[in-house]
Amino acid sequence: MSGNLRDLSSLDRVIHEPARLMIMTILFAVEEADFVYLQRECGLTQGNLSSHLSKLEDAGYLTISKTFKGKYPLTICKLTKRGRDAFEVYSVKMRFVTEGRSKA
Amino acid sequence: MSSSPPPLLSAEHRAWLYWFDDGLPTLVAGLGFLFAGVAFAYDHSQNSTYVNLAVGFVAMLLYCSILLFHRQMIDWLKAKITYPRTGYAQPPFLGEAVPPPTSLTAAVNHAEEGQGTAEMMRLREYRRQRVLLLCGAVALASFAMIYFRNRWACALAGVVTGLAFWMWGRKVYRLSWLVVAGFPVVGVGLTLLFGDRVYGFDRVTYFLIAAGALLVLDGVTALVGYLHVDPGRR
Repeated sequence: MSGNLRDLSSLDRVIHEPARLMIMTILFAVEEADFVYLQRECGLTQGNLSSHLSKLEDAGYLTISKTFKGKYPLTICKLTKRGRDAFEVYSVKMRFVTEGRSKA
Repeated sequence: MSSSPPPLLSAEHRAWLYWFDDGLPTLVAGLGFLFAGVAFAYDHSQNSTYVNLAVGFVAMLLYCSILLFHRQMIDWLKAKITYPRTGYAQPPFLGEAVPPPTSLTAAVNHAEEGQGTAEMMRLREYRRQRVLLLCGAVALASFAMIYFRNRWACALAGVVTGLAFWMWGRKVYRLSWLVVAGFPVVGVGLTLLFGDRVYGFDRVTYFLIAAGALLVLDGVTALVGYLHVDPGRR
């Protein structure tokens, strides 16, 4: 049990914040998404979303590219390999914390 | 215990539905069916005038273009209509491999994957199975229309196709009742209109045209609804 408790301290703090966890979950499920879609899905304000995206970008978990679709500018966010790995590890650890290690 | 799906699965499902939300994929698919039907109709036409040949050729060209570039066409239309309003998301599509568990996951030394990832894989497999079921049912309906001269073959084909669309779409796609109920109506309509005077490939041709018109109608209805709900541009 104490082992499980100690695992809580090793959770990725960048992902663990609820808004960032929401962003990571959405981006893990799609190939890529733009700022407007993320804002719509998460229900965050522009400034809030922008700040969380910057933190995730600084951690190397996602890339943000400014591009155009037709004549409309898009800010496209995409999880990096490192971001996908980190999210998988995070979700596995969370399950481990709540359910314990499964018998292999 | 809550029966709601894991957030990861829900996020993927929402992204998937978002692709169809504006009706543009249905509209393009409907145009494809329509052009295919027109091309076959003019190909089998009794009086092969230059105009008939030209119309048939153009329809076939348009059908082939949609078949080859439907994804690009939908994306182009979405770039004009959908993305500026409600944002852009590229969902994972049918046939694309689910990324295998990574080395880092393995490093955590767990025998199982995350529940969300496993559910995503199951959902994609479910979608694939439903598409195969739909294709099988449509092939069966076409076979019945071509080889059974009985006048009710078209009605049966319509019911089978409507049922197949309903089974395909009820869980994985926001399917309109216009399509589900429309196919049996189309089948019965063709039966009453042509009886057993029209048979073989001609029946399939008319059915294709009617199905195309039905899907275009559904796509346009969804698009109008979408523009009504999300009229703004950023």
